[in-house]
Order: sequence, then structure tokens, then C-alpha cells
Amino acid sequence: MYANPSGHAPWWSWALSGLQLVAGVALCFVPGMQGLGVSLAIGGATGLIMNVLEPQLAQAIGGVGSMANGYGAISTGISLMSLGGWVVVAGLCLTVIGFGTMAFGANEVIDAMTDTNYIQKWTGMSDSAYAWSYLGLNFASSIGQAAGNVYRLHATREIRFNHSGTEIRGYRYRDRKGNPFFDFDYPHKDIPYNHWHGWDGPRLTNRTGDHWSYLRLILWMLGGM
Amino acid sequence: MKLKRKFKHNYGSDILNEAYEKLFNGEHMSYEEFVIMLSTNDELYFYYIEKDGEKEYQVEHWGDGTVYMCVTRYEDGKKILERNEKFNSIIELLNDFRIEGKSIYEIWPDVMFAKSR
Repeated sequence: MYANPSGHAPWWSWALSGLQLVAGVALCFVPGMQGLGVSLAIGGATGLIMNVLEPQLAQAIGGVGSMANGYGAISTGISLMSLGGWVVVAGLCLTVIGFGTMAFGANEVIDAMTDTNYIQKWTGMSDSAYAWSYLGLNFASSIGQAAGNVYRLHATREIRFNHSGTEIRGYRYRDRKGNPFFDFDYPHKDIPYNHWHGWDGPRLTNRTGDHWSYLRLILWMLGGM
Repeated sequence: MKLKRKFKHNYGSDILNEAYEKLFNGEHMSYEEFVIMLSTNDELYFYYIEKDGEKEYQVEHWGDGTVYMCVTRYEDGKKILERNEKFNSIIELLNDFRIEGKSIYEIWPDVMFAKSR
């Protein structure tokens, strides 16, 4: 794939790095996905730079980023399956997509090192079909992780009502282990705006006292990845 | 609902897990459980019927450690803030806050909680 006589990176390598950068930044804004988001964003940005300086290295970086992306999709897929019901099917699909993304990523790393694209060699895929499959899997893994995590948070949250059950006070969201993760509260008394609280693990005094904006919550999550 | 039952609370101790299970089910809990839950900095609500009707009490935490007890009543579907008292700590609130001249501990057998889903 990188046997370009001009020495320039192919279009899809740019597209992949760009996709990883955009997906990484987007995942940073999904609660609980900050670790993977930052990794993908750094990998994507590095890939873009390396496409100019050293295309073969960019290929390997893109492959590693894809493996991380695929791992995240598998992890999200398994967490969805644990919820039961129809979500098991969605979780299974996301897990399969994750394995595919990891396989293509590993293939890219090997290709960068050995100049042999084994997936194309074994399946006879054209360059175009391979490139679109690779991009498509990465795209599906990123979107699937974001959507899957948002759904899991939504499905496992506690809705806090007032005594008559006529008014929602807010929501409590939990992480994959059931630990309290963060709260969303509607305005109450002295706090006339929607706000958020973080839970720094399952211990005493671990709910943050300050009343945060969503951006502040995300910054807190980035700091405590 | 089916999904949530597969998910267990984990607040770090059995006492807290049981207390939160009661809270989310709208069940009465012991005063001691309530005090332990307050130590998580959670902004807990409870309800109590005073002479002039049911009131909502919410403990509000602030980042600097101060706490407020906010008392609200509902009138024609509208929330009306009756009073808002500031305390330097949860201990001070539990000691000094009064409802019709009684401490929270004294009225505790009659307080109620809202059910969550």
C-alpha cells in the first residue's frame, strides 16, 4: 500500500489520521471515554504529521491507533452485552466490528514493517476495497463506542424524583462497575442552572461539592482519567 | 427497568449500598444511615409534614465545605423556597437545624423519601 513511487502517503492514510483525530476529540466529550479519546487524538495528530515526514511510520501509527480504537469498541460491546435484552445483539455487533478494526490495524503495522499486506494477499481485496473497509471499520468503531457508552450511561442511570413523583430532580450515572460516576442536577434552590457533580470513586466525601458546567465535568474527567 | 436490575450499586461499603438501595426505593432509613450518606457530600432530600403542610428539605453542599439546608413547599404546583440556612459543616447542620423547634434526629421517625427509578 505504501509502494507509492512519489514517496507520498496515500489519501486514505490522511483520511484515517484525520478520522482518528476527530473521533478522539469527540470521544473526549463522552463521559468515561477520555482515556481512549486522548490516545486517539494524539495518534491521529501524530499520524497527520508523519504522513508528511515519514509515510511508513504514519502507517504504523495509524495501525496502532486502529488497534486502540478496536479495543475500545470490543470493551464497549462487552459492557453492552452485560446489560442483557436486545442490547446484547448491538453489543455483539460492536464487538465483531472492534475485532475487525483491530485486525486491520495489526495488518497495517505488519505491512509497515514487512511491506506485505496480508489481508489483501489472503483475500484478494483491491486497494480501494481495502482502504474503504479500513476506514469504515474505524468509523464504525468510533461511532459505536460513543453511542454505546452514551446508551449504557442512559440505561443504568437512576432518575431522582420529588416526593409526588411529578418532577425530576436529576440523574445519577454509574460507571461499568456500578460505581457512582457523575450526577446531573436540575436547578435547585441557590443554583439556578443545570449542573453536574463528579464522583471520585466509591468512597466517603467523594461527591464534588462544586456545581459544574458540562465542560468543567469533562475537564475533571480528563484530569482523573 | 430490566436493565437496571442487573446493575448493582457500589458506594464503597455495604452500609452505604444498603442505605442507597433504601433511598432509591423511597424506603425509610435509619438516622445513622442518613448521616453516613451525608458524608459522601450527596445532596439528599427528605420530606416532612409540618403543621402547614408537607415540606421538602434538601442538604446542599458547596465546594468550600459549607452546607445549606433548603426548605421548600409546593403551592398550586409551584415550588416556593421558604428558608435557606447556612452551616459551616454537616455536623453543625445536624446539631443546630430546627424544624418546628425539633432537631432532624427528633423528627426522624416521621420523615419520608421519594422513590427513584
